Amino acid sequence: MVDVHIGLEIHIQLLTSSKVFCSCPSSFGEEANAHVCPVCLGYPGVLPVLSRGALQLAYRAGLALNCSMAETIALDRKNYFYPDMAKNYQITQFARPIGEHGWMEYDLDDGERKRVRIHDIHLEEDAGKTIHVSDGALLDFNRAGCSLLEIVTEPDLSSGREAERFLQAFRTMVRYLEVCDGNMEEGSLRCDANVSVNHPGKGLGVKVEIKNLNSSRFVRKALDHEARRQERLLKSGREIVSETRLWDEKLGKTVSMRSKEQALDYRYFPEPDVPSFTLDDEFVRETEAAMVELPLSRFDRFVADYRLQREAAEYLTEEKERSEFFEQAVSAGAPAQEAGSWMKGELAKLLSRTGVPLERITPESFAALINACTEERITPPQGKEVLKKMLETGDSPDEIIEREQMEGGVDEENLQALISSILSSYPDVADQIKDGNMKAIGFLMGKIMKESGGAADPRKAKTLLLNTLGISQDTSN
Amino acid sequence: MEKEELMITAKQALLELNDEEAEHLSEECATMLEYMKQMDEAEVEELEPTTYALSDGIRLREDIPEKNTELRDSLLKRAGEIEGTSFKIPKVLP
Amino acid sequence: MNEFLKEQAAWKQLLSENSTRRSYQQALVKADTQFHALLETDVEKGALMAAASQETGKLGGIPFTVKDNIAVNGFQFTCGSKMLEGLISPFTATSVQRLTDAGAVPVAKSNLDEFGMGSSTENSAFSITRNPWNTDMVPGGSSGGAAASVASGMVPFALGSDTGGSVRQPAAFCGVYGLKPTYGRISRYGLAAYASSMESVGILSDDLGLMRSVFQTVQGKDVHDQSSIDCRDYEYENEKPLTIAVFRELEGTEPEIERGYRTAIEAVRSLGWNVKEIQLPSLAFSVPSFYTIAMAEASANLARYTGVRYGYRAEGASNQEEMVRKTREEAFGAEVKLRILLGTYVLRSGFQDQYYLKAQKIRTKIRRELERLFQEVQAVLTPVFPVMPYASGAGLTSMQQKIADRYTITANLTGIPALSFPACVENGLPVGMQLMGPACAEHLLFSAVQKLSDALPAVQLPKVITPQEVLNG
Repeated sequence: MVDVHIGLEIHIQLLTSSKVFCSCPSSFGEEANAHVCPVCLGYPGVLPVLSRGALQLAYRAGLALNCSMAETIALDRKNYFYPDMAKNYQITQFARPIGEHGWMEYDLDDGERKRVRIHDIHLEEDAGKTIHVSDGALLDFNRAGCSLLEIVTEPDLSSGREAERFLQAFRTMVRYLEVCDGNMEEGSLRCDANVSVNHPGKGLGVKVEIKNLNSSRFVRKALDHEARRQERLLKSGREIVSETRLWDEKLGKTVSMRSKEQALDYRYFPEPDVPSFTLDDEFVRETEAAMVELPLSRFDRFVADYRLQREAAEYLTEEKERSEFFEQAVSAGAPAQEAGSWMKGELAKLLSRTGVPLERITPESFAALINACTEERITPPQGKEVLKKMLETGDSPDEIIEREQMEGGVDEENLQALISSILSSYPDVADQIKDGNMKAIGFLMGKIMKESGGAADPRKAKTLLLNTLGISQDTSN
Repeated sequence: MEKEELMITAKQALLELNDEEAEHLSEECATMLEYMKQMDEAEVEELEPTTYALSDGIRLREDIPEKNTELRDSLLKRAGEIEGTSFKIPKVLP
Repeated sequence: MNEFLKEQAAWKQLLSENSTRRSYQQALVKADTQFHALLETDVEKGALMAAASQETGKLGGIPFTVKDNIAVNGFQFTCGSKMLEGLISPFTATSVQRLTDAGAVPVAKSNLDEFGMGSSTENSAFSITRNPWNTDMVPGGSSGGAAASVASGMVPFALGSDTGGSVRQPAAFCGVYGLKPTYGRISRYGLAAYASSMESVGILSDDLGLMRSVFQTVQGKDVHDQSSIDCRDYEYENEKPLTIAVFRELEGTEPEIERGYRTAIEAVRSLGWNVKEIQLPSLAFSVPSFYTIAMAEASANLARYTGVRYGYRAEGASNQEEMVRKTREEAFGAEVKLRILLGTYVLRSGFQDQYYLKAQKIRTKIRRELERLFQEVQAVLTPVFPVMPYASGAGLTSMQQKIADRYTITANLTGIPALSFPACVENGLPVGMQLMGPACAEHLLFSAVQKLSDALPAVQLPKVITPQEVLNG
C-alpha cells in the first residue's frame, strides 16, 4: 500500500466581456485574430490596463473557495518565450495571489464528504493559440490576453476517482458563480495535475506533473494510471523522475515529455506598469453581495428540506438553473418528490433528446402538469405526452389536455371493448398467456396502451385483461 | 561573467551570440557586474524594496468590449507573414 | 512668454498653408543634412493630425518633433533600431494626441540611441546626430535628435523620453531646457518601454513659457496608463526665498562643468536665495542600483521583439526559435544586447536577491534620503553630466557613460521631477545644470529656473531655421 498525493492546477477562463488588460472582446468562434489590438499583440509602447470585471470575478471565486482574500492587488511578470505569447512574459500573480489558504468540500459518489485545501488562486492572462501545419505554424491571438484564474490545490486528493469528483464539483460551482462556463472540451476549464506516491506516513513523494487532461473522465483514468506507475517504481526501488508527462488517451498511459529544460527560470519580478493598489470597501461589499448559495449547500438543503434522495438532489443541483426551476416548481405547488423524479426522469430524457432548453417551460406549468397526474386527471403516460407537447409548443398543460381531450381517461366500457378487440387480433398470444406464459402479458399491455393513445389507466387495463382471460391477479405476477 | 553563465543567460534571452560577440560581451558584462557588486556594501537589509515610485491608486477599466476592425486589419498588414488571418511562423519544435 | 508669442504667430502662419508648409518641409530637410537629427520628416502629415485645432487650439500651429520611440499614427516607429525599421505606428501616444488636440503639429520623428539606451545618440541604427553648436560633437542622448532639432531652430519644442537623463543630458549638451516630469505625470502610453518604473516622456524647448504650456497640455491621468497620476501641485511659499541644496564638492567633473556649477550657485545667491551644502551618501549606490533595475526591466520589455508579429524578421531559419534568435542577433545593436543580457542575469534565480532585490532596497534608501532633504530645501541644484559635449566616436566607453549618469538618475530612481537649463557657454559649447524638486513640484522648478535664467547670461542658440526666415523665403 502506498499513499497517493494528488494536487490539481486548474485554469478557468473568466466570463468577462473584454480581455483582462485591454478592451478586445473575449468572445470566441470568430476567425483567427479577429479580436486583437496593439496591446494584446505586444506592440512597442502599449500598456496593460486591468479591468474591474476580471478582478471581481476572481474575487468572487476566492470567496466561494473560502480563501483568505488579499487587500492589496499586486501583479508580477513571468518571463519566458513562446510564439503565442505576445510579450514573451505573462502578467500573473506570483508573490501576492488574490486569494490563498482556502478550501472546498465535495462528495464522493457514495456520499462521503471530502475536503480539499486550496493553496492559492491568482489572476493572470491567457496566451494565444499555436496551430501546427506542415510548413510551420499559425498563430491566433484571439485568446491572448483573455482573463484567466488559476486555482492551485494542495495535494489532498488520493485517487483518480476523488480527482474526478472534485473536478466535477468544482466545475458545477464555477458555473453557479457565473465566473466560468466550465467547458473542458472547449478549453475554458483546463486541468493539470501533480501526482506523487510514497510509503504510508512518509509524506509527499517525488512530484510528477501530468498534462493534457481534457475531460474529468481522462483525469480519473490518467491519475490512477500514473499512481500505479509510480507505485510500481517505488516498490521495485527504482527512481521516480520529477518531470512532466502527458496523458495519451490512445495508448492509455502517461508519456514523458521530451522537453529540453525541465525547470524554466521564470525570473519573476513585480509588474511595473500596473502599480499595486488596495481594494476599496465598496468593491469588497459589492462582490460579497453578489455571492450565491453554493451547490453543495444547496444539495444539503434539498436533501434536508425536501427529503430528496441523494441521487435526485445531486441531479437537481448539478446546474443552478435546474435547481432554481425545481424550487420554483415546488413553490408553485408541485410535490417535491414527484417534481424531483419527473425532472430526473422524463424531463431530462426529453430535454436531451430534443435539445430544447429548459426555459421553454415555466416551473408553474411544470407544477400544474405534475398535479394533473397526482390528481389523476390524466394518467402518467398521458402526462409524458403532455410534457413532450409542452416542450414543443410552450403551451400550458391545461391547454394541451383540453385540446387533446385527454381528461377522464378511457371509461371501463370502452376499455373492455378495446381489450376484446386486441385479444381477437392476437389469439395466439392470448393462448400463450392462458398456458402460463405470463411474460406475454407485457406484449398485450403495450398494444392496449398504444391503441388507447396512452389514455388508458395501466392498472385498470391489466385487471380487465386478466379478467377477460380468466386469470386471477395472483398468478399473473 | 564566465562564458558558460553568459551562454545560459543568452539562451534565456533568446540571443544568439557568435564566438566573437560572446567573448566581447563576456568581458563587458564582467566589468558591469563587478561594478554592480558595489551594492553589497549598502546597508539596506531591513528596507522594503521600491517597485512603484509614486502612485495615487489606479483607475480600473470597466469590462466593456471594443472592436476596431480597421485597426485590426492594419495590424495584420504589419506582420512578417500572414496565412489567412493567422500569423505564420516557421515550425515550432517541441 | 513674450518672446515666444511673436514667434508663435510666425510658426502658426508657417504651418497654416500648403505652400508655406512645403517651404518648411524643404527647410527642415536641408537643415537636417547638417545634423541628422530627424528620421522621418513630414510636415503635411503632421498638419493633418492637428487640422481640427490648428486655428483655435492653445498650441495651434506650433510644430514639434517626436522622439522615434514615441508612437505617432502613420509615422515610422523605429526606436532607432533595425528591429523596427519600416514599422509604421498603428496608434498615437497619449502625449502626442493631447498636443495635436491642442493644435500642435508633429512634423518629424527624431533620432535616438537605440531603444533609449545611450548618452550620445551614437547607438542609433540609422544615423549619428550632430550637435548644432559644433557638428563634430555629439548632441548627447538618448534624445539627441530632439535636442538638436530644438537647438538648431527646426522646432520650438520637442518630445523626448528620460529614463536615466535622456532628456536632460542632451538638453544640456545642446543648450536648451529639458524637463523630466514627476513619474506618471505624463502618460507613458505610446512610449516604447525600456525601464518602465523609471522613465517618462519629457519635453525639450528653448522657451520656458512654451514648455510650461506644453506640460500643462500633456500632463494628467490617462485611461491607457494605470501608472499615470494626477498631481496636486506641491505646496510651498513662493514669496519666501528658496533654499537650494548644492554639493560642496564635485568629483570627477571637467573644469567647465565645475565653473558652470559655481556660476549657477552664484546666480542662486544673487536672487537672495539660500544655499545649503549637502552630501547624499546613498548616491554612492545610485548608478549600480539604477542600472540593475533598468536593465532588468529592459530585458523583459524587449522580449517582445522577435519578428513574429511585426518588425524585422530574419530569413533562412529552419524553426521558429532559430528565427527568433537570428532576428534578435541581427537586428539588435551591441549596447541593447549587453543590457538585455545583464538584465536577464540580475533576475535569474540565484542572482535576483543579490542584484535586483538589493537595487530596489537601495532605491528605497535614496527615496527616503531625498524626502528628508526636501523637508529642509525646496530644490537641489546639480550638474547634469560630468563632462562637456565630446567628439563623436572619441568619447566615453559604455561603462564610463553609465557612471556619468550619476547626476541624472536620482530623479528617475525616485520619480521626482527635474529641469535642466543652460547655465553658461564655455569654449563655444553650452554647460547645463539641473534643478530637482519634490514630486509634483514642476511649477516650482519652472518658476525657479526662469528666475535663474534671467540672472544668468543669455544663451544664444545656433539656430539655422527661424519661421520668419522660411516665410520670407
